[in-house]
Amino acid sequence: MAMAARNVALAQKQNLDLLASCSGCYNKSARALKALQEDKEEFERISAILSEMGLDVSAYNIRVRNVVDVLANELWDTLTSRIRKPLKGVKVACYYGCLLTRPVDITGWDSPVFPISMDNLCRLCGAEVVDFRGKTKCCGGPILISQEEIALQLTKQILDEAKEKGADCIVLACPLCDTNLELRQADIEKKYNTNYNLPIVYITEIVGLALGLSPRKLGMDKHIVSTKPLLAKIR
Amino acid sequence: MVTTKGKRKFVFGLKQDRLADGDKMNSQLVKQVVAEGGKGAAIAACMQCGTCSGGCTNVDSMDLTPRSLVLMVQRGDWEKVIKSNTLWLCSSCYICTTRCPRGVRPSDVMEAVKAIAIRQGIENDATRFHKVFVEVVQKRGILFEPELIHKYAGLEGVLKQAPLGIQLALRGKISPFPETVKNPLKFSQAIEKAKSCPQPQQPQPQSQPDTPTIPVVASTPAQKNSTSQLVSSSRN
Amino acid sequence: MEKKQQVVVIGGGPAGLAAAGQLQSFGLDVVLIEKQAQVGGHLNKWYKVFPDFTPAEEIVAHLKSQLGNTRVLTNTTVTAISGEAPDFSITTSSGEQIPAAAILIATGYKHFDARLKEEYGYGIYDNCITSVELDAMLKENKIRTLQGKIPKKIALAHCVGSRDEKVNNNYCSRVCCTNAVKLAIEIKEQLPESEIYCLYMDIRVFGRTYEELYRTSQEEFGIQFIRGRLSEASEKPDGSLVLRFEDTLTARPMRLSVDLLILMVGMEANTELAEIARLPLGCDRFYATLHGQYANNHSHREGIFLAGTATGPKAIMESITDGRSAAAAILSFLMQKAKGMEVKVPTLV
Repeated sequence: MAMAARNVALAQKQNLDLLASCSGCYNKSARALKALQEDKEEFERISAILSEMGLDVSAYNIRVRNVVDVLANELWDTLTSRIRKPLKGVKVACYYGCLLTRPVDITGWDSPVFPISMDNLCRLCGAEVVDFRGKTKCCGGPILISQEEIALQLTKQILDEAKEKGADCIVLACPLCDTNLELRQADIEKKYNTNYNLPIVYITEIVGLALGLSPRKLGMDKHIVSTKPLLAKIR
Repeated sequence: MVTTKGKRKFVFGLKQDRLADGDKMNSQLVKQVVAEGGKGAAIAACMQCGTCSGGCTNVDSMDLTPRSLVLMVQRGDWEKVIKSNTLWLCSSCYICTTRCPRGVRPSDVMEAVKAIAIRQGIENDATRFHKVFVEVVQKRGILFEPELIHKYAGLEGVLKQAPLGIQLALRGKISPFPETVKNPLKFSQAIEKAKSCPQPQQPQPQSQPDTPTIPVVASTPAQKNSTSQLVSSSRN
Repeated sequence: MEKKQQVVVIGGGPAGLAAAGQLQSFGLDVVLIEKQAQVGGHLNKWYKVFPDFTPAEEIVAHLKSQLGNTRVLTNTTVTAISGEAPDFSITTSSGEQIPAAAILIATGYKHFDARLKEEYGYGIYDNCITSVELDAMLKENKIRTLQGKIPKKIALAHCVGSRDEKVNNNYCSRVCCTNAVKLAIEIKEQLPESEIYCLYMDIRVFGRTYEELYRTSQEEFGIQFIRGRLSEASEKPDGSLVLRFEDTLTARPMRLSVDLLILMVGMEANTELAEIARLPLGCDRFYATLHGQYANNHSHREGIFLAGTATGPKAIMESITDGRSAAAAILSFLMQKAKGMEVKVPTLV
């Protein structure tokens, strides 16, 4: 808790909201912030540790946000006016995973069962969103190393559904989910003798493409699973 | 009574009866879990409805469902809790916590129980990974993935992951060289501090000689059957 | 009593109807205000009522027959209450001013909105319906899936919107267990080939002959009771549903496919008049009564009384009894007032 609190304290010192690009980091930071704000005992315990690091903060009034929340709830209007290249004909499956919207008392900005903010963002970008029932199923990221087999099975279910629904790519907002879905895709293909070639892209990449940024600038060429088929659909 | 050489045997050849000894039930474990995990790990409100287990991502592979695990903590059955694979199969997806109609947070309970288990010296792949992870982070203040894999899975592990690592490095996704935070020493000192931070209201079993204490569970093969030993010795 | 005193009953469900009938039999002038076009309340939706399968229509007909000279205002709501007991004045949506010596609030309850339990998929999945919708099907003797098929496997999920912190309803709605048992029997009577599963946490059948009903459902109708709260439902391409929950008595996770899932939706407070009547609410958001043990028909305001599910979940029979009990409390209050006596009601502590 104190480790997550360190980042929160650093942000509070500059009086800035903390934006996390990873669901896990977002969740842990938001949880630390909640404890610092609402639990006096925890506040004392954590503050003592932070003090050792030379961080002294007496009160917390910042917020911890994540990328999807900010894009959907702060930048919606800005984005609406700046879409240059609507992603016509692209079918996406939006994958939220666990920690972006769960547990509700820590996150609370979208549904923990059928969240829709990322879907809405993708629609705004002109893409077609498939009815993805596995959008909040767990990818097994945290147990990837210690329980590899089970983790890969979980990941497989998600890839299977996206493929079955005809998605051109999975859009997500967490690097750990990406690790499982993208970096382990080859392992899964090998193990279960299937073929996915399903690009996994971060939400900002989709938004960036719709804004007309060059794929190179967005780092679309740096993916392990090639994004070329996806990009070809856009041009 | 069928007795041979002073040792009592059960009539139908059963080694152990299934009668639970209610007098051995104790609330120490619940207290310890709450002390470890804070208010989030409170389980007193559980009404055993099974909503947590029903939605659980990995329940199919677990030997104790999350509900049973919580029940065992309530009953003070540390042996069952620590032997179960449930702790290590939990992927912290928070579905249980999101749905619990009584506001219990099974994910946080798991974390607290794991922390106690690790302190008691339980060892398996999961705890080893956590330990190595913390060591690596503590050293530099930030993660260096190749070092993590090396420490966890040895050279063999590194070689297995090498093709992926090279691909990632070529695409600039990971750096082949370790980074550090600005002041790693201060950082690791703070972690030490956090580790040694006294837990609030930690029950002190020794101070109450009558209270049954939580047995330290064996990690060495010699002690593995501590339950049966306990049972048989008490019957002698 | 010198001049005839008038009592206004707000809400024409079982409690309001029973109270109005009783009050007019005491010789009082009674005005019954009902928001809907018909009196009867939720009874108008029901097929038969537990535990003895009395047709709901019969109950409504009986209660209506007792109304005597009661003036019934339908399609009417209350927009303001002014004055103090025994000189209240009630303004209705039609603009009429009605004097009242005492007021009875019997505004009932609303059903829990099952869409809030997103993991059950109500409103998303075709064959996930509420107990209210099932009653409509039973009335028509036509239990079908949305695809028009006769369902073979049917599950009834108890405690939907009740005993659930996550939807802010910690209380038990009391009637759903018995209602589920009754519905299961009715389904089995109409579709003898079907298999029926009740997913429960605790079976709370508390009233006279309710336990016998539960037993009958097991012995004669072979209803399966599984102890485990429904955790989630998902839809298969053919429209049938897969349920996930734990069979807690065998301590194993269970997957069950059904053609029809029925959500036993609980009761939620209907407190539309809380501000107009200036009445406080309990922690369950139903109207607070003056005392939980011995003044359950008294509100916190003198001259305003409460009956039926306005003060918490009740079965039909209990609501009727509660309405009549409120009528007696009102009569007692008016007689004491008329004699100029200080009214003896339990005081607030």
